[in-house]
Amino acid sequence: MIAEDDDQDPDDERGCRKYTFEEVVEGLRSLGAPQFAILNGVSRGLAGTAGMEPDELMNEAFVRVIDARTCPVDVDMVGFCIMTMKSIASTAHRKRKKEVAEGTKHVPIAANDGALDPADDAVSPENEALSRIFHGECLARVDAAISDDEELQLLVMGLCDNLIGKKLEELLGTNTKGLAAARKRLAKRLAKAFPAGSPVRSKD
Amino acid sequence: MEDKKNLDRLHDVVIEEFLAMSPEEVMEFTTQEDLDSVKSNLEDAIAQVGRARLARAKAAAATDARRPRPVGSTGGGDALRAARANDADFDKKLTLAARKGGASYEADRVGIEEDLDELRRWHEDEDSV
Repeated sequence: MIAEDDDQDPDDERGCRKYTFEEVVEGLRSLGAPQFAILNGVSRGLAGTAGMEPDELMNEAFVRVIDARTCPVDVDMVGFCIMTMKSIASTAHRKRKKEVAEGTKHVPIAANDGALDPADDAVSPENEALSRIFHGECLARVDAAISDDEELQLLVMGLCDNLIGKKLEELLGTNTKGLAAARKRLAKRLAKAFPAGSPVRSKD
Repeated sequence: MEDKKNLDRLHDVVIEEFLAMSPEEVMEFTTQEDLDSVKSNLEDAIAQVGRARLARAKAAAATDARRPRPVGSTGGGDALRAARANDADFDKKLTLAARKGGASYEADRVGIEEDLDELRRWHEDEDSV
């Protein structure tokens, strides 16, 4: 047998069976409209705040899910796609780092103000600067998307302060139902704020 | 990295809220164009992965074709005899080595036969998979 063993053994060492290539393809093609709608909403909500185009994020997630074949058979495929999108969005800043490494982007690095230990190999000054700039830009886009909604601004502020439950309700001056409604509104606002083709990357 | 953590929290809100929506609510939020775009994206990804799998299979086949295979043999000794029969230079070198080498030649000959035997078994195992 000379071909790669793509379809020979979808199980991992622990005996947890994973979907095969054909099963993943069939599973994704058989999703219903509401499930595609969820994927659409999530991709738009994540992409815009991760400096990516929604279609780019969706395509990359689909490719990974189909090609990597790491989805266990007892895991819901929509959920797996969403987690993959989240992982890609969460590491989108590495693409920016690659652009810098390839010379297509320049990152001004401020003089070391002592906040970083130069001996810390885990976070180089350049990576730290890249992360600050990239994530700062992403948060700025969030701010712009909710600039006309005071309640959503308070909600984002509370989330960034890691507030949850009652504390978040107190900040917004509302109750559980009100907080749930605000969260839903925020999710939809972020998904609507960055339609396909809207500029998400700074032009420099 | 605080900004990254904050963004991750916002991402969690987006995901949790969309997953919690009823089918009717999420469909109200979505247009037919959006749905067509997702399906088109999916088909593109399937085609992309299909091409990549084909390319990998072709590369694996090409690599396999380049592997040296023992001339049809049932054992290391037969393989060595066949190799000597097919290569006059090789046969001459081994003959000279046998005349001069004594014990060291014998050790080499046994080693060569063992290597050819192992190669034959490896190929047989691969072919039986």
